[in-house]
Amino acid sequence: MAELPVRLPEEGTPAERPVLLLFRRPPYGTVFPAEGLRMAEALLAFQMPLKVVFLEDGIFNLVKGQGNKTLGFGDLGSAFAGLTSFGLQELLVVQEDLSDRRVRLEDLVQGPIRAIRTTELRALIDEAKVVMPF
Amino acid sequence: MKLHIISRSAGSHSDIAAASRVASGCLLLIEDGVLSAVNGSPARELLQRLIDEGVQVYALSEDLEARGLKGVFMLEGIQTVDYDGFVALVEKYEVVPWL
Repeated sequence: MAELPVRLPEEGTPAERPVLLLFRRPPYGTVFPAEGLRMAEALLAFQMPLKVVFLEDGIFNLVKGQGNKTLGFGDLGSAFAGLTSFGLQELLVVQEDLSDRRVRLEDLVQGPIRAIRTTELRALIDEAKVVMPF
Repeated sequence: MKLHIISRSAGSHSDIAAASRVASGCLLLIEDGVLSAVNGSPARELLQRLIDEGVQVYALSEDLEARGLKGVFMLEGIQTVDYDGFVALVEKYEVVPWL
């Protein structure tokens, strides 16, 4: 079997510090969220420890009912929710940014979405091995 | 400890506002991010709060100089670093790029 380009964690070794992807931008206006989704899929495919947080206008990536056939846009929200089938445990979203935009948790796609406070975001950033914004 | 790097102006991007919510340790202004270091910056209150909280705030001197801002309009409490200092910071801290 060909050697994998990424080192997989060995069984029994202590949990590695996670990669943290921060989704800051809204969907469709730029390629950033879609590229971040691809990166999340790749990291999960290699069983890398991963956490994803949606903040600022990035929370709009999780609004349900996205997609437009005329524009050729798929449903990015469902795609993010689908990360759970690759092994992601939960999608984190910053409560203050939801509230500022008057978006409720029930407005978001179905899935294990958990609202966190900015204080928890700070702890996640400090804990992460790598932080990447999208 | 993390080094938060800001490369866009507070006048047109929310990067510094976002970073200021979670920053601890160190914050470095580079490229157009150095525009936030001037006295009249819309981010001056945020930066002042971070400095008061003990966050080390730096601006890259080469980028200040390129914009004619070196030393003249700077907010008090912001330190300058050159490229060698930038490298030293990146070696010392884990980087969080706000893009």
